[in-house]
Amino acid sequence: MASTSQKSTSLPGRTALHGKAMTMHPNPNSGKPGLVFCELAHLGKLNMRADKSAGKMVKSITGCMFPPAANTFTSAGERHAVWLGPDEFMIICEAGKDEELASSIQASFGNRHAAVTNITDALAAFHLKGAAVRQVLAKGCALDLHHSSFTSGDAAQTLLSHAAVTIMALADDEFIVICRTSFASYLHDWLLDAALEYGVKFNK
Amino acid sequence: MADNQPDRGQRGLPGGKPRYSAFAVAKNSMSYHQDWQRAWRDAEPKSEYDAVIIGGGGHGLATAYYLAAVHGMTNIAVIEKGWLGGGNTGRNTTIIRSNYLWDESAAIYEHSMKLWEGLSQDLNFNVMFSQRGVLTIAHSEHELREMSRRVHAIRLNGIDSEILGPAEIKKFVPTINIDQSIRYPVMGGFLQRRGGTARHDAVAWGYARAADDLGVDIIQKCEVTGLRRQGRKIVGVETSRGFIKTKKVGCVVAGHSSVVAAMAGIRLPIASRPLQALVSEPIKPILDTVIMSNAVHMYISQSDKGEMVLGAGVDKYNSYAQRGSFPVPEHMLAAAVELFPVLSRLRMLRHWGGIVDTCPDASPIISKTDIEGLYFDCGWGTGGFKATPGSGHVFADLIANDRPNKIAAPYTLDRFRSGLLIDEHGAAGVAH
Amino acid sequence: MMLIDCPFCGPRDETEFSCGGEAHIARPLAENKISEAEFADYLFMRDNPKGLFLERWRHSAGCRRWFNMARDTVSHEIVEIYPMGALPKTAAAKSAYSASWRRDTAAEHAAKPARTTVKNAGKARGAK
Repeated sequence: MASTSQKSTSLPGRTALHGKAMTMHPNPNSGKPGLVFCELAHLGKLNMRADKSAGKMVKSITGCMFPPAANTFTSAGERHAVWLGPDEFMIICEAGKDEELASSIQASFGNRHAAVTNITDALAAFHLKGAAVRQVLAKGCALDLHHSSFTSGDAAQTLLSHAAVTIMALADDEFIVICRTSFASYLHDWLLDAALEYGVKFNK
Repeated sequence: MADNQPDRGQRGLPGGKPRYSAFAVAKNSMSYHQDWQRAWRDAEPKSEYDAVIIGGGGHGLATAYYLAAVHGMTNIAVIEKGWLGGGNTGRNTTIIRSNYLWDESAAIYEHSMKLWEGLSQDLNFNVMFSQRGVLTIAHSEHELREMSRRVHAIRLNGIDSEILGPAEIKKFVPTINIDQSIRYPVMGGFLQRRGGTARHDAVAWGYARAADDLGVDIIQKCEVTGLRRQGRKIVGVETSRGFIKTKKVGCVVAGHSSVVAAMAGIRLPIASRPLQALVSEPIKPILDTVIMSNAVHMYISQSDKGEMVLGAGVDKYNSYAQRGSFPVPEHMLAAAVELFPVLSRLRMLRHWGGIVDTCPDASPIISKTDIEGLYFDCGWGTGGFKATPGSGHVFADLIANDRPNKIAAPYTLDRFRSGLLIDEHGAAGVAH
Repeated sequence: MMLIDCPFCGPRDETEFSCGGEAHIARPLAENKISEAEFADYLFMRDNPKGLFLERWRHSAGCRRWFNMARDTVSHEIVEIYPMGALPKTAAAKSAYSASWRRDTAAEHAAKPARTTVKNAGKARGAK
């Protein structure tokens, strides 16, 4: 499971939400904020094109099983393998480990018709947690995000308020949302606005 | 026929129908307005006509009127499968302008504009043509540059167009939001003061009444089911009310053009798409011009009833359903509210769709076909209403003389083989 | 509003997709073997039926893959979804495919000779 407060001050380069400050709007119904979110700065993200036969190699290098079905992801500690298509998936790893992982995967290809691309900086990742997380996402997403239909281990590429995203359910009240870096500021603003009625906190 | 002075035919109603006037209103009030004459007859189809126009919308009725008024062809019929003006003519957002980029477009749309200016007198019917201006907004550096190029091209064709900055726009449109920090700020705009709106139904009724006055038969609830040929010549139309013999057939059926064309084995490059529009509850006057925005995909005006009239782009799939999907107006209204915050509490009252026949170059087809006597006027896509008089006028000329005039000639179906496309996606802009 | 069953991702909202227009337009590989008029037909002429239409769609906000769809343009009912590169299996869609004027065009013949052995290739084309 990704930790909620991931500090990557040791890594160079601005993050997608550089310049955004900690923000808090209390829950009007008192109690904890309905949504607490932060950026998973520098979260490693690799795009892999390969078919199911790459499953064994993926498991040995990343520790994750190949995703068993469409719209699912598997996990091994802080690493995940997310299904994106019949021959496409995303490897998520802890910040700072993306280049090393990409090299290992590349080296293991041999004659395999496959590709791995490091898209760590092309995409931004949010961690979302709170009792209202599903209601907030539902305001901008046409999927059925009820906890009985979109459960832990489910993933989807879809639209969140017009922005292309990949969402992953970690638990009933916990999600990772990945979007293009250029949309991160927009989604940050949208999440703050959408969650206002439940109480919201953005952690730096 | 000179481009600057179109031959509009005779003005008024030479066929003898009582004219509409203030005097007529006063006179008829004496008999409690029970003695007004029917605006057009419910004609029974004859067995033969000199020409048949398929399609009783604005363009079809205008064609029939000009065939009779300018070319003296009065033994003609308009055949409409539903009720006249019930298709796109009754569903558009009534915007009229002639500020297009290419010379060929300037010719046809300005020809139409000049006919609009005087149409109510020609037809003795108030089409409520209101030259309240059409202002197209630029929201980026790129759009400002593009706009400047367009304005020069438009003015080189002798058509009015001027550039306004944000402060001038705010003066012209007090309810608009010129905050520069919004997602799509108003950075400038170009205005055609002679542009504006008209009452769409009135245009259909005005042309129908005047055409009927000249002897044109308007036949509603009559569907064309086939085009009968002898070799490569038209000999008549099969309809739900029988066969009608004729040597000239003008097809003006907009979204159904491919359906009718297929009856004669003709292929068209057209895709029929949904175009949606909606009106709000009526409110006091807050907008006395027409605003269009390509970037935020919306156009808006206020009708004389006080309703805000709004439209957006086409739904991007083929349809004959006269309806589209909700995200299109939803997206458009979000943008409209950002530009006009005063709209945020308005309730939307009615919402509908039409079937627009879009062409690969966003320009119409006004053309003979390789079947003698068969002519098509279609492909106007989302921009047909403004061209109603001009289209009817040049199509009538084509049908009467069996050759296109200078204005219609570039719009031949052959241009898709020669490559001489007239790409107006930029000017059609928001809606294509 | 349509709910479209992406062959890879399952049923998703229409807003996640983009329509690619008429399906089964074979690109003529030997362009210089057909006339300019025939090439223009390939480039610009399009089926535009009031009824069953065979279209290409792309799941642009999802897996981004293409697939084919047989859809009624009056009711918007989706009759069949089938893989890109394949032909439809339902009777109505198969018949729409075979009856299309495009099956008999020079462009299609120039694309892939094997295509023209579809059983209706010799069917007379005339007014529909």
